[in-house]
Amino acid sequence: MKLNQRSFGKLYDKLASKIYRFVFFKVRSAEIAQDLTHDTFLKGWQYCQKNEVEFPQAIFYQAARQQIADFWRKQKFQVVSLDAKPLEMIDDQPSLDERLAKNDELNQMFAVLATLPEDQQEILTWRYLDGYSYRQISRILNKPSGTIRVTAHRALKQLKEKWNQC
Amino acid sequence: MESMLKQFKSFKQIRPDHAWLRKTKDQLMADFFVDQKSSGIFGDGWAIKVGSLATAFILAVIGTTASVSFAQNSLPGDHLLYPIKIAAEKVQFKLANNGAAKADLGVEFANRRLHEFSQIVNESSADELAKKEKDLAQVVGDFTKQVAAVSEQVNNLVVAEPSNALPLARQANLEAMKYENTLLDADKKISQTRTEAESPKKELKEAMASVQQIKADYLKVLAVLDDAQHNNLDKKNDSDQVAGDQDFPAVSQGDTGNLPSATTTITVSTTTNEILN
Repeated sequence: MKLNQRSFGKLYDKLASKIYRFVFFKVRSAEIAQDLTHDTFLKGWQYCQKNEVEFPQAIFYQAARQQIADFWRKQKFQVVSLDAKPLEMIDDQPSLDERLAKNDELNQMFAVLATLPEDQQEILTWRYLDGYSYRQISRILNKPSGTIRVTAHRALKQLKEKWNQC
Repeated sequence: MESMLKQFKSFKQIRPDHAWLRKTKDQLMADFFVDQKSSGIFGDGWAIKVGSLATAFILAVIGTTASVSFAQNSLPGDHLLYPIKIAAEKVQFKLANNGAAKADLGVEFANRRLHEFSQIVNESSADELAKKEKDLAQVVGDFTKQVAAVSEQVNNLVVAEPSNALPLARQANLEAMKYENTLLDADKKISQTRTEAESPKKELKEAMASVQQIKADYLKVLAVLDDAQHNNLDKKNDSDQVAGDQDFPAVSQGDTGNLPSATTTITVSTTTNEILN
């Protein structure tokens, strides 16, 4: 399938927020996430123009991973600081108290998630936040869907254990 | 497990700003799909055919991003950025919704041309001014075109939407007074530096004439509105008289109070005459 203007527009509408969130988890800055998301779509589209693509989501997530890797290479460190508070995540909470309360919970979840291996973090994100099936995730990662299913269950179990310890 | 998963799913609240999403989409679409057209994005015989880098400059200039493009500060003679600045203004003009919006832009662009002209004149030595003769002529010529475009819009509006013509004509008239002073000052400075060269003297004369036209347009709009007001009063009085109401006296035709009629000759001041002669 070759992407045209209309299909690119639809893909962007469907994928932009997900890619942004995916990138944000890795860089923990709204501004950097915006820049990298923009570059992801640039690179992803350039690839799609030259190649027949069956599942474009896979291309864009791969492009996002590449952008993130390049970013961290330039930053010269790999580990995301657990102290970074994602206060800018919440756009439109009804009240400040609720927002701050939510942020504490989210901060805690963020910290717990960060303790998992990166592939587990990604699979949890795709499965439980972006709503992808195991088959779709297997196409993104180019791994058998059985492997994805096992990794997802393992990740969820670890997340629960660590969450309960907090 | 369920409450933990519910907590995890609250990460769905992490989302980008809507305005950023839209802006980024527009930028990407412009980058990807504008380049595919065989002619430039401006069409209509405009001189510039742009690639994706220049498109980004233009989009920045016309304000699709929050940042200010450095092309906006460019002056005539800057062969890279100044054409981009002018091209962006043309795009802005084309995208304006109606005559009033176009006229507003015309005033803004005329202001910019005059500012550029003043900047070159004030910041250049006599030798530099001699070398910039063509650039000066060009920018003054562009100023005149912008002012003429505003005058045209005012005249169109006074026919189509007379009430909307007045604020525009009034604003243009105020600007015209500033234009006069700027042109006179610049003419004095240029006269001190040159002897026989004709331009931009010729262009300055044309610019001054277009500025005078703006002032005449303002008076014309006032007269038209005044006539319309009196015509309405006449009709009202006629219908009142038919109905038997004798309280309001008829307004005699030709009674325009303190406002000049549309046929009043505009007297050009003697200082302005120095440029025109």
